[in-house]
Amino acid sequence: MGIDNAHDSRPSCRYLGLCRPSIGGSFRASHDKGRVILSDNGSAVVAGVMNIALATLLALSVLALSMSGYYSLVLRDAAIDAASNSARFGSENQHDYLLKRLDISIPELASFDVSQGSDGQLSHVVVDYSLPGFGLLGEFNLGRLSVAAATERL
Amino acid sequence: MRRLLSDSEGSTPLELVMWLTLLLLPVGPMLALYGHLSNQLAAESIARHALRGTILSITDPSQLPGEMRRQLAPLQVSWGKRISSYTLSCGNCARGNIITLKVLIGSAEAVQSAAMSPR
Repeated sequence: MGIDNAHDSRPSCRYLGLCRPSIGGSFRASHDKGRVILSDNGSAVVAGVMNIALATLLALSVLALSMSGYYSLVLRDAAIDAASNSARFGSENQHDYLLKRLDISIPELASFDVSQGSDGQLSHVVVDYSLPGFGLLGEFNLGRLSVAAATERL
Repeated sequence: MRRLLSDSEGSTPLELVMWLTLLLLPVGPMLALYGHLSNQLAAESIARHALRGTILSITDPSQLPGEMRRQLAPLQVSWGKRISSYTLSCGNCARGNIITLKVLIGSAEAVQSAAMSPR
């Protein structure tokens, strides 16, 4: 039993698709899963379409992830601004200000809700948000952001 | 050499590893850049709001360090960052002097200045 014998079940280079069997040692693909997986045989058009689809999906996912990172920073910055403003003595309710600011800064497809409160020492702002996602990352950007600022002492 | 360059034979696993490396290589620097930018934004925001809050809250310059700590604590929690260090300088800390706050988060540094009320 040589290394290229079709009846030899020992691991050999043909399992990796790196060499061919000898003339007398042909075998069926169904008998050799390693060769089926790593073989070069197949439709180049299907492979091309699959590669393009996967590359597009990957590119969109990276873009969605970048946008998510950027907008989470914008949201946090706006919420902290609102919390600091509401922590000042005699300040007006920041609810409308924050909603208007988020409406301008965040994409149209995003949705958000704002609530605020104070416990005497700290002024709190809570933002519930949902950012649009695409590619492999669907509607994953559901989040709650809770920020606080120390209230002004008199 | 010519045969090596024009031949289609080769190792598929090796090709896969090389493509994955090429595709994933830019992710590391991108994450580092994002980390630095978020640190910078956080440092600027923390320094601005903490200094403003402190100036409005103190009635006497001696209250400055304590009030600054009180202002900084909730802000750094809100940003989800850890302030590496901060320095507060105000000359002889008399009324009407300029206060300068320097906040350091990671490698990002932010400096803000404001004047204490003369009264």
